[in-house]
Amino acid sequence: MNKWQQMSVKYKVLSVCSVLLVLLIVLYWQVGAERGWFNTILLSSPSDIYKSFQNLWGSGSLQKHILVSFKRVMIGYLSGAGLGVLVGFILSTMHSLDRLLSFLMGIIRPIPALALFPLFILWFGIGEASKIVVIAFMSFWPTFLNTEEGVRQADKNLLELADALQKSRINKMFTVLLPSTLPYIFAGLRLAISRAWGGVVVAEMLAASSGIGFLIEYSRDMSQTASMFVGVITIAIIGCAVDMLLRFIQSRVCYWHTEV
Amino acid sequence: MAVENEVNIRHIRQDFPMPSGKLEVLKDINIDLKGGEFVSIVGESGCGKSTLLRIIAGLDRPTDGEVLIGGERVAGVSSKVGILFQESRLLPWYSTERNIAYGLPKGMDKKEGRERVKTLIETVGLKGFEKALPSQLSGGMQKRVAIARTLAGRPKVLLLDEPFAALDAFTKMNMQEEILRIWGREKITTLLVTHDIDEAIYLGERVVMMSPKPGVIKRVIPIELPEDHSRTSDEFDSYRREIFKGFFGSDKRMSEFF
Ligand SMILES: Nc1ncnc2c1ncn2[C@@H]1O[C@H](COP(=O)(O)OP(=O)(O)O)[C@@H](O)[C@H]1O
Ligand SMILES: [Mg+2]
Repeated sequence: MNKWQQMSVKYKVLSVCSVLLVLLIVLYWQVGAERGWFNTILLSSPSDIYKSFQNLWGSGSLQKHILVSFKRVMIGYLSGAGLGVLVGFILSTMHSLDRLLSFLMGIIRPIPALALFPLFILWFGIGEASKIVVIAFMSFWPTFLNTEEGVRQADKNLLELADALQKSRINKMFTVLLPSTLPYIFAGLRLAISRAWGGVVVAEMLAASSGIGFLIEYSRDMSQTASMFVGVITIAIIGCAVDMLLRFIQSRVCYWHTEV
Repeated sequence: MAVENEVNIRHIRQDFPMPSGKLEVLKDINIDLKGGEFVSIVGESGCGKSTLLRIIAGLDRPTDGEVLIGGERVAGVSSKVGILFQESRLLPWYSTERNIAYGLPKGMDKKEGRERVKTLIETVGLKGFEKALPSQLSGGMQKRVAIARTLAGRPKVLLLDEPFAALDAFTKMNMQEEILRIWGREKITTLLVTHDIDEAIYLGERVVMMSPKPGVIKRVIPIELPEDHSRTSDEFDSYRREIFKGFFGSDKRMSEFF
């Protein structure tokens, strides 16, 4: 079970080095800033960023921004990705409907979600709804496409086995199709969450009065480079944490899948 | 009235469409299996053995001809027929127990089902591996799970597609004994496909020899062995010679095989 114990020495060394590498970059960055190797107005020093973090955290405004962004992402992501799985399943099992909608899907899919954002604002207002819709739109496609691909890749032999055992369509769906599609669904979910995080930040930069994206944009207006970095690093950390969480859930849900 | 578990294979032809015309895979196959009979089919790879079993199981429609089971024409899959595919085809997300239970008849009483699965696990010698996933089992063990799953449906007719091909010699012999025991006890009509001549003789009451392109029946040899089916007896050897001669012509070339 313990991954660390199973790793070879080479991998352990490399894992330690990958952390050291980040530390080294930060160290170089700090020293460089102190010695005046680069312009700290454009590139704040790690210690300034930390001070700015303390201020933002101390006043509670960082938490507030994180919470607002998080809520937007979660509502948009869960509805978009959920719909993606559902529609992916329905279309890949109902071939005539899939054919019927294929051109429509083909036209809509290439549109960058953010290009639609101004329209969404027009339709749903400048409030929460337009941001949630744009995030849902972004989360839909990766999950939808991956789910469809997963169903397509399901082992024909196992489906035939289910037929030979006279399993009903519903039974076949839950015993064969869904489990074999799960790894693909998770790949889609992970792709979607990173898109959704990127999407919320941009949407908040364009039209919001709160959220991490707003914090970054507002700090730029105020020429507070360090706060901008706090925003960016916050996104990086949360994105990384969410991906780790999804990977953990995946390893539990797809327990038979060894290479996660 | 036809016996419930007798099988009649009548004039089966199977062509597959190909870019360059059609591929004749089976041509006028006729075999009658009495209820409870054990028949082996031997033939080289590609002669259409799996195709024939798929037709009998109702998974594929033949181009021509028909299969009757208990006098009824096969028009699709039925619970009367159990097929053991060439591959084990276990659900990777299910334990041994659940994979076997997957073969239980629809609507079976839960408690009765559990009992049957338990008995089958003992029959195929997988006690202690009830909770193991397929990936934690050896190829031979996976095959045994698949056999148990097929038997869980209590078929009247059993179709075995090269069931022991992937097994080592020892496991293979054990499984052959096991199949004979089960067959002897339950009197299931059994059609075994193999490319192992010894296996065909050892298990079958008749051996059907097939040749390829297109797949046709070359000869049918009734097997009468002493009670213990000893593989080293003179009778066994003479059947082996006869079949080799049937496939390869002269007795001379055959000596190269021993
Ligand atoms: N669905 C199919 N479409 C086209 N050709 C097939 C199909 N199934 C089997 N064949 C061909 O039929 C021949 C016999 O196959 P198969 O029954 O699997 O042989 P065996 O089990 O005796 O090795 C092979 O040449 C194979 O390529
Ligand atoms: Mg075959």
